[in-house]
Amino acid sequence: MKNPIEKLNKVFESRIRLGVMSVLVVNEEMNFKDLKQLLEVTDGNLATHLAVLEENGFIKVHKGFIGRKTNTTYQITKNGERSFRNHLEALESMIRDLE
Amino acid sequence: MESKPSETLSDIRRLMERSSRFSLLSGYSLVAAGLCGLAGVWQAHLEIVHAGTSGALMAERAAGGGESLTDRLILTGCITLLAAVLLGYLFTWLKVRQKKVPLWDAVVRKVTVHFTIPLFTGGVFVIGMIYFYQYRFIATACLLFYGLALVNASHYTVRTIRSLGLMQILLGFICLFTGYSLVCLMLGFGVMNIVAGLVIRFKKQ
Repeated sequence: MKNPIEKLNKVFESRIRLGVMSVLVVNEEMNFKDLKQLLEVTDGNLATHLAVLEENGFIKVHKGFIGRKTNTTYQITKNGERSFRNHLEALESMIRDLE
Repeated sequence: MESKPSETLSDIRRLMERSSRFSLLSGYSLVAAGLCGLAGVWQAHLEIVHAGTSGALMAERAAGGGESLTDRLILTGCITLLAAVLLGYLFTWLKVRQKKVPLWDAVVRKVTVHFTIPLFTGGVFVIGMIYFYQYRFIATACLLFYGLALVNASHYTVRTIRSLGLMQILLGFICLFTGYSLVCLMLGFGVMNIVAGLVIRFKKQ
């Protein structure tokens, strides 16, 4: 039998990274502040996890300005969406195997 | 580190839902708005009766000048709208404050924008009709644009809002062809809002 855990994506092991992906898969884009509020994390923590997701090519970062304040928004990439869905399927098949 | 997959999945679902829909809309908001609607329609009815017959608008126009009834009806409409929006906002605000989440986050912005665009369009259209003395379809336009605004906003909030919007559009059509403006406004802005509010209030418990 195949081991379903193989299909789980290591990058999504962190709850926060998984949370970011969950939010971005249903929202076209979201800015840093709103992500922070939704996930209830600190600035530094969120920034670290976002950097990991960006390095993996799962999210795109747009740096913009509203007046003089920076407004950084995040979008999911095609690759990110595919990886996230695969991860979800792996989770679901694990549940099925447990039952 | 690895939590149960079923827990993880329900976490994911919760986050998706919370980040894309504003679920804290209070049923009492709609009930309050509906009561304002009923009061407004009742007041309008009294004014029309007071002015003589329900054909007074036309007579007044024919006579020229003396726009008092029209002016009073417009004023009634504006006050009703203002009261409905304020009370509606208040009850949702109270509910949000109870849950200790900031009211003005991404989802609320989305709901507001998607609700406001059709409503604003309708508002300008109605003002235009008043400006050109075309009163016949004002109630129809109010119902239709309110319905469209609700349907539009329903993508980002409680699903019941969609049915409410469709009902308003249907009433708008009925109003268009029958001309029973006050009855349709009473049903749409009054009764429908109250019913939908109660549905939202008691469905979730």
